[in-house]
Amino acid sequence: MIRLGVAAVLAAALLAGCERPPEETKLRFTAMGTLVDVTIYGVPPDRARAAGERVESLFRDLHRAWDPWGDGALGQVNRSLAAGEPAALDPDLRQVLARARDLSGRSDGLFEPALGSLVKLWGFSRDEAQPEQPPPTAAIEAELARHAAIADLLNSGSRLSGPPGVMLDLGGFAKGVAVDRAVELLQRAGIANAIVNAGGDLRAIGRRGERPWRIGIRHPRKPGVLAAIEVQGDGAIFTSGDYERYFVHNGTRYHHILDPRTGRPAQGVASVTVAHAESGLADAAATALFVAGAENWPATAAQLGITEVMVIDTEGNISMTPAMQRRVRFIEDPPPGRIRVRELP
Amino acid sequence: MTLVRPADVAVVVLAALLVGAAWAALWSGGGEGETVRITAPGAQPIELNLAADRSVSVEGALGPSVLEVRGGRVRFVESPCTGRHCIHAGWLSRAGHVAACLPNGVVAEVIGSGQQFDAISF
Repeated sequence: MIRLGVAAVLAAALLAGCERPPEETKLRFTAMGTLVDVTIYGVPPDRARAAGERVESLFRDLHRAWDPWGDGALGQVNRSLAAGEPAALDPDLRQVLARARDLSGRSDGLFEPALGSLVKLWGFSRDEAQPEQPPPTAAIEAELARHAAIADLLNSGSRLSGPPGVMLDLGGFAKGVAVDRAVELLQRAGIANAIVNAGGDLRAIGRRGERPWRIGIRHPRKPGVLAAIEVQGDGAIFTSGDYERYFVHNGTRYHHILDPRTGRPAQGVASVTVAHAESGLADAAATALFVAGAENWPATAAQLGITEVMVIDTEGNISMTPAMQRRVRFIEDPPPGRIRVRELP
Repeated sequence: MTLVRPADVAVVVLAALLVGAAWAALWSGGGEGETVRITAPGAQPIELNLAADRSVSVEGALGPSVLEVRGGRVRFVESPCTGRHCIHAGWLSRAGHVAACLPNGVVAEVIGSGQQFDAISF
């Protein structure tokens, strides 16, 4: 009887995890032109919901402040730049732009926030109708001719100035910074286990009960998930893909990730996934590595201090760093493309 | 007399295998959508079976969004927004797939029993 009891208790202990109801609270809201999902585990729903609502409020405030075309801090900067006048920066925006300038420099300008007017020319700013054709070559050339890098605009003081027509767009960075701030807010509220997911770019902290958080990485050309990665403790997973915003004109796909060197959509890469502790850096790095291209991304990753990267080119070939290879697990066996492990320089 | 006999060990091992099998099922395969949950501002969410073809009009902040369910998939076919990103998103069929008309506040999310992931990076 004792023997049977021991076996039953052990078996029950193993199976109990399957029966326990989930202690998970999910909130969803719209901000920064995307859906934001906040998943909180292991605290009572009322407390989780209150913390999630503070995250929503934070995102709305940051959306207003960093909307390039709105009436918040960045919108006012862009209006001043358009008028050829120096723009005053509030301390918070200055700090964000200084970090963006640092990352832009470390990526050799492949991540470039001073491309606002080019983004608008292509019709990829969030609130506009889906573009149907690329802009005229002469208009792209004119934008490139007057282009100034963020390093040229941001002076050492609290003001910013540049040639008329140059505009800042924090797409490729703002979402990352917002996710970092949201996670800090949750941690200050005593939340240890959560995911903040802003339109597929996310940071996870803690665990989901007895297991790590499970994150799927979207296949860039097919419905569904290509690979899985686990996060426990603290980590951001950011993906930039040519499928997020694009149009097809005369059989050619034009997507929203613009190469500052050509003024046109970056070529050769379908998606880049970056894992890193800091979301802001992961966001900027995913963009910079996408622009760097399927051959040259390792050098940019090294300059940015990123060690976990997976790149899928437009032919379906997969390349990744050794550190990413140790973390990622493909859903299909064998994986759907040739895998090449790239050491960082 | 021993405390645990081989048969007892077998019971425990079998239980462990069952837990392992459940975990593997969550990780791989599955993921087919079964229903779509459509949310709109100021209204209770509605959930439609993806096995039953139909069109549904949902009132949003700007006007009606029309969604079509056909062959186990769902998509936006009309929406009163300028961006048309919701329509551009095309068909959704796998559990966890989401498309939204943000200006109209209408969100469609595919639900399935084989939800493998806590979040998708894309």
